Amino acid sequence: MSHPSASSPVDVPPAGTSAPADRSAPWWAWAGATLVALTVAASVGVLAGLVRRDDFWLVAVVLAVCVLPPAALLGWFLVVRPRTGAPEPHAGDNVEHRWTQRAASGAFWDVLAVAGLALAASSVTGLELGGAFALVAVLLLALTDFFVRHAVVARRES
Amino acid sequence: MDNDLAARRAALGWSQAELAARLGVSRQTVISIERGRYDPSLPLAFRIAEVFGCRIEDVFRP
Repeated sequence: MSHPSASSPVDVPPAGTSAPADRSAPWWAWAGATLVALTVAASVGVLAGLVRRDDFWLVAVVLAVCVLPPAALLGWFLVVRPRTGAPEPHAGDNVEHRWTQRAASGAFWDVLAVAGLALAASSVTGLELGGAFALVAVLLLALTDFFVRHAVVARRES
Repeated sequence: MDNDLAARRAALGWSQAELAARLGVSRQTVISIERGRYDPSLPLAFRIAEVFGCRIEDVFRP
């Protein structure tokens, strides 16, 4: 094997240190993310409370609390994340990206198959399933299927 | 695909993390390529060849 002449050196940060573009978000970014989270959670809570007027405050508070974690994630994604770290122009080349794509694709087809089978079984047996139960079941199936597929393909290709 | 990425990297004294940083990918990506468990995309293959100063077919073999 001939000794290759490497291309011009690229600025590579020393091991154990972060790349120059990695930085902490300023305090006001976190404040903005918090504001986004609280606004989204409160809005969803109020909207839900207006739908169920007989238990307005109970429904509003419960829904707001339930929505707060994903709303916080949304706030982080919109406000904090753009201010930390450099964008990854080659993110699609990462093996993890392929794992995620394959896991999501497989989970999609599995959900379709299971939903179809469940619908057929329901039609044959006459069993009525509540809408909320069905939706939760689909959500749990999709999430579990995705994470299991991701773990399997990651173990196989790492 | 078979490749001699690990040997070329070692010849230059680069760690997997260093090579990953130069290629703009994760360290796990470099690991998977070296083990032959992940075939890089064409743009990534070109960047690999450019980093090592050789042709794609010098690094990868079907």
